Amino acid sequence: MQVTILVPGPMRELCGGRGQLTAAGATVGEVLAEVARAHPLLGARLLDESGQVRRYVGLFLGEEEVRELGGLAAPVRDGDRLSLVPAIAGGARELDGERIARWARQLLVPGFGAAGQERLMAARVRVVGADGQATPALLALVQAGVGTLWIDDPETIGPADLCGWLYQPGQVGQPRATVAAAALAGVSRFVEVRPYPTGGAPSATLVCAASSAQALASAEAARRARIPHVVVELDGEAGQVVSIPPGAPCFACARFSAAGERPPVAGSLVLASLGAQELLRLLVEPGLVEGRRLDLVRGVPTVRATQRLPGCVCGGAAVAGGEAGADGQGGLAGDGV
Amino acid sequence: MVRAVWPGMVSETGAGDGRGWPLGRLAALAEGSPEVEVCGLLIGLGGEVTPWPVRNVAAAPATAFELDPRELLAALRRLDREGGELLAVYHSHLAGGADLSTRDLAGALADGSPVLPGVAQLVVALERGRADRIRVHRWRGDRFVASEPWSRSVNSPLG
Repeated sequence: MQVTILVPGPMRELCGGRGQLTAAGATVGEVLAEVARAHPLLGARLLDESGQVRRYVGLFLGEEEVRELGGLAAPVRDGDRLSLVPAIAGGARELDGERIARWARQLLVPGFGAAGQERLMAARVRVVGADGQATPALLALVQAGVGTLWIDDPETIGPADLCGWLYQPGQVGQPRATVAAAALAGVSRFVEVRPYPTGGAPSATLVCAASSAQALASAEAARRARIPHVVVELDGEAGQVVSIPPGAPCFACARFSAAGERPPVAGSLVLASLGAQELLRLLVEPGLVEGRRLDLVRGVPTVRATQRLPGCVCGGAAVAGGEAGADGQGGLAGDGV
Repeated sequence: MVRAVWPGMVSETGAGDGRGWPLGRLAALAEGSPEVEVCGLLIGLGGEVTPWPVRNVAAAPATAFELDPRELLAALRRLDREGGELLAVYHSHLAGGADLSTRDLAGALADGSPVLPGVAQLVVALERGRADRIRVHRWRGDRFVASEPWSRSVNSPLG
């Protein structure tokens, strides 16, 4: 089989300036081996010592990617055209040795790995509510390697906040957001923590709001922005954590509505940690995680898939209304649909 | 020395033959995509340098770029048809400055020599969503050498 190899401009100096070569073979691999024999410089760029395709190059047989046709074993026909394309890639940040050492344990977890870690490094997480009960969540997000954390809390530290994991007695009366940002910066230099708003848009939200109304409003903002979010809501016995990947039943549908408005008790710190873990799952495995609700009652957790209430706007039934909602008018109107 | 850049500006020199880099257009492309790195080719054609954007298909496009091979193939074929010249590959950094990262270098080099001989690497760096700095990196025998940066603000947080 005689095949025409099309060489793109930037690679032609590796084969005497020619844009087209011909070679014979029954498979892509045989054709490339002949090219490599005739043009060693180009061959060294295409194939490694063991004859495999190098990562610097992409191959198209006709209009199809060779990788999808079976790689080097893909058969060729007389007159086929094999196009070479340079692979052009790079990255702003990377998992260097120091980061690998720090996150070695979770990097081993199946489904996590370097890709999961890089997704966390790229994430910009807005945390709504940074009272004492929320502090374990802040620490968990930072220690997992979230790259950017925005703390949305206008309140100052009160005596009750000291039962969390971050604030110290001498800090009562100081703003929660700035104190938390400074404390977390000391924990890890791989995170940028700033008080919210920052002028940027978050890529995920964790809601640890002090009231149900605030939790509902923050969750609705995240739903409209189509970003993954998790809501932690405390009640008298412990509370609930609701995970909402984009497109899943919204918080208003999924929450156990008798919850909230009651004072937190022991167990709430665990709940905030669970909320952070749920959000990390959504960030690490986007598209693979369903919406779910985790209830903690007298120390016993139960997990269930969330259900959409009939007619809720989160089902996409009122897409036109959803568009209108982008200007800030569709929210409450949507509840009546 | 840091040189000022503003929207619409074309560098006075840089791309060769008296042509300048389209800094304003590159800044606008990068600012139009605050969540995902933009990438593409800079093509010299008819006395001008024009960005040809290519889709970024990296797994984590907020911190990495990878030119869609299918779009790249189409762009290289068009380049042959129209007789243009590939001057540079550009991409944006959402934060962290306009230098080439270790991973940028790993992607641009094959066994220590450029994957694209004679083609420069141009980086547009965003800072809080605004294009803050642009640098061109050219291969000089054994390494990439960076141009003096163009910057929107001379008092840039990146110094």
